Amino acid sequence: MKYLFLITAIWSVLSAAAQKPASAGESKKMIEQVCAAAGKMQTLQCDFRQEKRLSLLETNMVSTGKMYYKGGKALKWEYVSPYAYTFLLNGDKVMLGSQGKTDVIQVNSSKTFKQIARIMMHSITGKCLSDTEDFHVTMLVEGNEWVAELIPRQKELAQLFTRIRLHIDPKSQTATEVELTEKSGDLTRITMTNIKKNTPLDDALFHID
Amino acid sequence: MPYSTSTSRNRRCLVRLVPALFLLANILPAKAQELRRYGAHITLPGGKGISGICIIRTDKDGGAMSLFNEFGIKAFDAVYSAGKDKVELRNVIKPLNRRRARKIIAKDMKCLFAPGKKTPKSRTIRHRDDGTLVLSNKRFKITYHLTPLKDVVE
Repeated sequence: MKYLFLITAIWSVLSAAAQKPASAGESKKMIEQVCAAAGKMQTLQCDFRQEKRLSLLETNMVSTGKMYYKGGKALKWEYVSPYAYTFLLNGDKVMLGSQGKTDVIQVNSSKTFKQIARIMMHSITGKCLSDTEDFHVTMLVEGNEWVAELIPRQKELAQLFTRIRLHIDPKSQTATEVELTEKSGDLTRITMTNIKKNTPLDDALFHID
Repeated sequence: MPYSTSTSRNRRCLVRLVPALFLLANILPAKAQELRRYGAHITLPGGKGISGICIIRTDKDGGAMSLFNEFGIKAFDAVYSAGKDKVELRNVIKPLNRRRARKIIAKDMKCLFAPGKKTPKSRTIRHRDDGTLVLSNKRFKITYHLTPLKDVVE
């Protein structure tokens, strides 16, 4: 256990050393490129792996699934393993599905729900880099990727999480990993693979009765 | 002779008993601790609501739970002490982080940790055929829907 802590500490120091903050000019250029790519994004689909540390329960939750996004208002988050569970957001409606059963919720009156949904969509598309009112953004270069570190400016957002780190592929200017750190220190890491941008997605995929 | 026979029998018993006890000591804590997963949605007054994943761990001393949304943002943690028969909420997000709301939710959550006990006033628990647990707080118009998330068989 002692050695594990030591290895983790050394790894953290080495990782931090491997990160190079981008200059103001570089940073501006990187943000512009990511935002331009996000602006052109009509659809996005990928596989995801979600890892969540729950320190209170002394456990790590690992799940995998598929994600579909369309036109800034529809998001389908479909867990396929270890359990089947679907979260589908379309406009003001949310559909939750598991075991062939669905529940529909209206979210138009919930400000927090809307805020969380917006952050979810803006993080996976990279649009949150332009949310300068919401976040203080620092750009870093880490090996072959860019890392955007977002610290919430508003008190309301700071209550939900203390930091978001977006790992971005410089070639495609899309996010490949989202790390979300909570106030309690618990971390959620979402890794996205098989990313397909702007491929046609049928509206039926996002249909809510 | 009978003495020596009895000694060897005792030895044989001991040889079998020690590994058995050792095994039990390892198995019991795992059995005593249970982790349940649910797809959750909570409807609140005024058409507000929260959805997400709910993980509940129970053991002989009480239990703990976490409710977080699909993106990993936590709504709240709850810790149940069986000795005090009390639930304490931690890391509560803003719309719920009011003293009165925390008190009501903590009482509601007690029903999940101690299902065998008498349900507190104005609360009902229904178990649907599909395993969904519906906890209603009629007085404050809060409903908790918890649908078990079963492992997908590949």
